[in-house]
Amino acid sequence: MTAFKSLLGWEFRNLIRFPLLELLVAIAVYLSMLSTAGGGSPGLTAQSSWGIYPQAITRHIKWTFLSDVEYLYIPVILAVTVFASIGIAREMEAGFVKVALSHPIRRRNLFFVKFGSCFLTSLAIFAVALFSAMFLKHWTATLYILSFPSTILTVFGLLVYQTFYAASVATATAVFSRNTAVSFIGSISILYLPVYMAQVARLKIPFVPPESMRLFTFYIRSATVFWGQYDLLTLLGATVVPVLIAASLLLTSFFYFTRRYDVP
Amino acid sequence: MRIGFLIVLFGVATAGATMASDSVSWPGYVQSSDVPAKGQTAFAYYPIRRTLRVIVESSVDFRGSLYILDEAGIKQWLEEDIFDPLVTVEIFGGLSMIFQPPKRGFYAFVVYNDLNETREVSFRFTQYGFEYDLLTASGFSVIVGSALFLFGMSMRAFARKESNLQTGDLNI
Repeated sequence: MTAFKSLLGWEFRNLIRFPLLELLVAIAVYLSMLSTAGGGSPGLTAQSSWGIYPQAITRHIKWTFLSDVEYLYIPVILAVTVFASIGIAREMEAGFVKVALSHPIRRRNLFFVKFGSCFLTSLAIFAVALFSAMFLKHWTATLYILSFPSTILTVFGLLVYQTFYAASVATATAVFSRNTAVSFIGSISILYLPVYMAQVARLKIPFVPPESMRLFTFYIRSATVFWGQYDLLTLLGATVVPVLIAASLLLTSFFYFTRRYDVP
Repeated sequence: MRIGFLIVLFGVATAGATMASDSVSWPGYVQSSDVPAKGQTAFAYYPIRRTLRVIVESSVDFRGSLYILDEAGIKQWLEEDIFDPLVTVEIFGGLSMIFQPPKRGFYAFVVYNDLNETREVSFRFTQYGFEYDLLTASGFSVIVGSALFLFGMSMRAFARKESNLQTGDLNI
């Protein structure tokens, strides 16, 4: 356990070294603050519902920040790709994994440390940036946000879902490619492809982010309107399939790393 | 020292994003409604965070008033039935005014009709200017971060000097 902890500590220090953390924090904070400007347009409350205005305010904040998580998809894929390329592919390429495995360390521990540090570091950077933006932009509604924790939990849950998917794809690409440049370009291409296809070819794939997140947030925002346009299969596809894809990629790369990977 | 630098970056990124987003004014929000004779119609918006240009349009002979309430005023009106607006302006046919909200938050706009007949009133506003509270918070974090950074630098320089002195002693 001590070896696992020290390995995890070393991995975190490796990933947040200067100036990587500074650059990603600046990008995450800038984009989080900027994105709420678009989504933060005033919401109208009818006089009949003035009695429940704290709920209306927190609902408005939740909707705004759910859109912001979708908006942060590209910076998130950039962060996890950088972390997976530096923390996994580069170390396999340069032979640092060989050095690590020459110590009494289990391969599965090394894999989980590498995936965990990549996932948790990205999640922490974007969660801090997003919640700083939430509390700065809505500092007068802080008590309302804290009184209705579903706002924070829903936004955080969507961020975890997005980061987990991206980190799994980036980890699998890094493990199988074993090359820094191939891992970086490959992960970016795989994760960005659905965005590109949606924008250029107008082809939206409903079971991979960011389209799956858009469908999921649409369901959270207004379930009745969602059921009018989509069915249960679409909702399941948007929520369960990305998690299954991420989990199967993670498992495959785990088995490859622990059973098949020959240290050169 | 590194935490100080991160806080400075946080402040600079926040200020940059605030200035970039505030460099454009948001288009007007238009709401039309019938105001009953000797009655009122009201709308509440969240978040109001920048300077507002408020425009009320109606028929030329319309006479009435516009009241703006902040969150405390809305609460007082709902719970104690005390109407204590932040701003009161008379309307003669129409109105165009600038409202500087004291702080960001939830504001209600109430249009009262003095006439004995129902009139349609169109209410709109545009937000412009900077969010000075966010810029102040950014400036504060830059100052705090710089202080931490300089403190870390001076501590490191002091430690290096001490180390050099000790090494010098050993050499003697």
